[in-house]
Amino acid sequence: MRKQFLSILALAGALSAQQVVAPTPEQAGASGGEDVGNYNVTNSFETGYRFAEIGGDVGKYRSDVNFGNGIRLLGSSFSVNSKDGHGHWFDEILLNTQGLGNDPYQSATLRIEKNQLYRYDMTWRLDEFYNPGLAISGGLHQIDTRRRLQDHDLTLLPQSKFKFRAGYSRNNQTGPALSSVQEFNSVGNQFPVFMDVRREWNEYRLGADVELAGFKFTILRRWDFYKDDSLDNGVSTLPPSPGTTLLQQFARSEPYHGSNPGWLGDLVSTHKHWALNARMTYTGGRRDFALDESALGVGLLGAASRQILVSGNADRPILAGDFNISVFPTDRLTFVNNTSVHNARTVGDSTYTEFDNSTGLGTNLNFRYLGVRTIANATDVNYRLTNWLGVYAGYHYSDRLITTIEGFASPPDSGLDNFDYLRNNHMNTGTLGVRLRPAKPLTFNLEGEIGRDNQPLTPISERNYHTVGGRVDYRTRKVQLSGQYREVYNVNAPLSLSEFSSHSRNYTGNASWSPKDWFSLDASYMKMHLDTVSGLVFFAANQLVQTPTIYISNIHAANLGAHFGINKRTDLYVGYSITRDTGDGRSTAILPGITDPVQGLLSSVETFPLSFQAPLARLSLRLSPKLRWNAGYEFYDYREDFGLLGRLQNYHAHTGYSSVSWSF
Amino acid sequence: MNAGGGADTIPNAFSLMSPKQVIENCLSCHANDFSKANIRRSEHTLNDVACTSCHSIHHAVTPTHLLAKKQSELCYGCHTGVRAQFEMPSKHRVNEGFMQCTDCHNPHGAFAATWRMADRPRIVEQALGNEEPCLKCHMDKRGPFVYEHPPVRIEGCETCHFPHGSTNTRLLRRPVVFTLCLQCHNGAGTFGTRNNGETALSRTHNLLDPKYQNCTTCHVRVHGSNSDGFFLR
Repeated sequence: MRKQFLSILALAGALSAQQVVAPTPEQAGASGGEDVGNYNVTNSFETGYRFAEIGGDVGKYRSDVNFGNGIRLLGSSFSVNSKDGHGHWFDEILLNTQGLGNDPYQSATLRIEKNQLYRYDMTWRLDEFYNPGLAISGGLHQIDTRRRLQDHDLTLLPQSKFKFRAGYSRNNQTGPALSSVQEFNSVGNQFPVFMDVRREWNEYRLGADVELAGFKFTILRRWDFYKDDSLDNGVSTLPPSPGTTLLQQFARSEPYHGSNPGWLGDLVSTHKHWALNARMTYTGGRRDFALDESALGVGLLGAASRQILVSGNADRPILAGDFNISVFPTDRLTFVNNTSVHNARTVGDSTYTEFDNSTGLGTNLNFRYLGVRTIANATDVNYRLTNWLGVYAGYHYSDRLITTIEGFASPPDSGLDNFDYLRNNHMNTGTLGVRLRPAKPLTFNLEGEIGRDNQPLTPISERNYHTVGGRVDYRTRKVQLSGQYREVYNVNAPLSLSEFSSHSRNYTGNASWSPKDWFSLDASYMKMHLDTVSGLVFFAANQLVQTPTIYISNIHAANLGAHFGINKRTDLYVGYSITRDTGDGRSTAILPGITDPVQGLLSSVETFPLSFQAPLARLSLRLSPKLRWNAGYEFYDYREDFGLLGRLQNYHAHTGYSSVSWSF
Repeated sequence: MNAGGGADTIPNAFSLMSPKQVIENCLSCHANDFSKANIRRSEHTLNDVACTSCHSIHHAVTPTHLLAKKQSELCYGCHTGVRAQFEMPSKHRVNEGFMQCTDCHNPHGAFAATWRMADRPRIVEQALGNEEPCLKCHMDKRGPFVYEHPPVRIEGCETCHFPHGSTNTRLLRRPVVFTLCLQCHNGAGTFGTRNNGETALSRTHNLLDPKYQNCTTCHVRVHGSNSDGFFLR
């Protein structure tokens, strides 16, 4: 029994080959639980102290990792199961938590179920996201918000042919942020303004499933409501440039509220030689908005004070449908055809009014319509020639129509000047694949795909592309080996100026070895090479520049993890992960010999070498059958070779924890 | 007592079945489930990844769904490249336990994507009825906006972002913002919704001036705006 228990612990360690040091995967208490009356109960709780000591760019650390100091309920697991499946109020309760107490990533899941009567599932999550910098981070904005997500789903009569569903989901984001707004002083400086983020989304669901005469029909009605009441308020704190007067005060209120009621219907039927599935969804989106912005000071155009009022609404009804039919003429042949339609129409108007020093500068009415209609059909054939050889092939056709209307009126009652645009394109793709299984644990997959689009939307969209990939797997109980190669090559260059080609090559290898109950090893390696050529057009000191540019990323990523069970009481896990972008091999951001400032700028953004590594070690000691002591350490090291636009965001961090896991 | 017969003596041993037989056996009970509506055309089925590749009836290690391993470890077992992306500096928090692969993906197969050309990605779950799953959490990017940034709505978030992880901040496909924007906004060809090329920079933008190298410093509503067609407010 003890050996069995340790085997489970060893397995748990092997499965946790991930580079986050806590919580501890090994749990306290007997894996089989304890009987209490008519129920079997398991429980394990882990509480401890997490520490982090950070050097270098703390903002970047918080953006990437964000673990801090303090006492946490690092993890917990609790289950109650009726032994005969006939509990009075419930047959199963499952509760799992992680990170509660102040970790940046927290979650709790709960399931309560009574066989044949009801099932309730709840998920609650919290994510604390921090993003540093303003202009210094490539135009990204500082944000320090918390996002809380929760989902509740109740199913009545879950094993019946008539099921009823009800659900509720909530997502809210709150916290401070900095926003740069389009207000300039006379020398064109931007102004960071404090922003109080307050966003909230709520969804309510009601539905039912009915099985009748070999068909199952699902219907779901949903109502969701969104509101964004974020506020911008601030006074400029930038030092004045000589001879200029700054923007002195700024305030903006921008409420944005709306709803998205929707329907979903689905019909499924499965038989020996055929199966079908049909789905239809409709969502009607609507948003009402208003913006009131006032600024005091001297602006770029010399305005002393300005107020802007914007109001309007936007609608987006979306209709999507799918029809899927599968035919199985023989046991070896499968034929699947799928047709899908998607139609989204975004339409809205926005009235813009501007006052300058209390003088009305006028009111404009803007109207926009963006319609996207896509029809796609895909056919896949899967044929198993022998038990060790199979082939599959597919053909996909999609047709897309984009309709744009841009309207403008000034004053608003003068009649709209409309400009209409239509854009139609279609894409054909074909796939072919072969599967080989020469021996039971050994499989090979080879696959290729080719695609052609006659008029892609953007210069980087897929136009003329192909992919080639292969995979080999060897899997036994104790050894798993796999290797994969995938190459994607896309050329989208109808003109020399818009020259675009993207070529990625991805090599991966993975090895897992569990020779003994007390030892397991897991290692993986990936190389991802990307080179992209694109045509840029911009002005540099009033000179028009038209030039191709290249971007090269050469990422090597490796992961190694080993688990040891020592003396049947101790579990040790050591791991290491590294991501290294070697770029194109250059030693300086700007290639030697470049003196032209434009070429220097382009040279500096062609590649961005860096490294990110995280070694860790974790020890878990079983003090008694119901008590474990755990400790772990993880070091993070982030290094940029050149820096982003000349600024290095390097950091290192010593993180770790000590905790106790117990069961009662 | 140990029967000692092994899998050969079990009338319906999954270990002796072909992947298709495994799927058909399981679907005899689990077919009428909305989440498995596309299992016959899913990438997993085409590649012989059957139910028992991920689920273990007798030795499940997860409290729900009878998974043979923790979910992310199951996926990483084959998708080594994706695993590496989740260990990059900028990533969605899957390893940290905040998210799971199934928040965005349906391993049993998904409906045709409602973005791009409806051909790929092929195993990404739609959210909110018929939209990209990113919008389930990032609800402020959903709109509708009077001024949509067309690629966001038409081509999808992955036009500019890596969905799993990246060496660049905010999962961007380029480390420096202007290179990301300008590779489309070069005015060339017949691209864009107006068929005359994506709008290029105006003369007032001197790209040698650092403040113009950070496009989103001014174009703050790059995902869509109600007040300004250039996404300035």
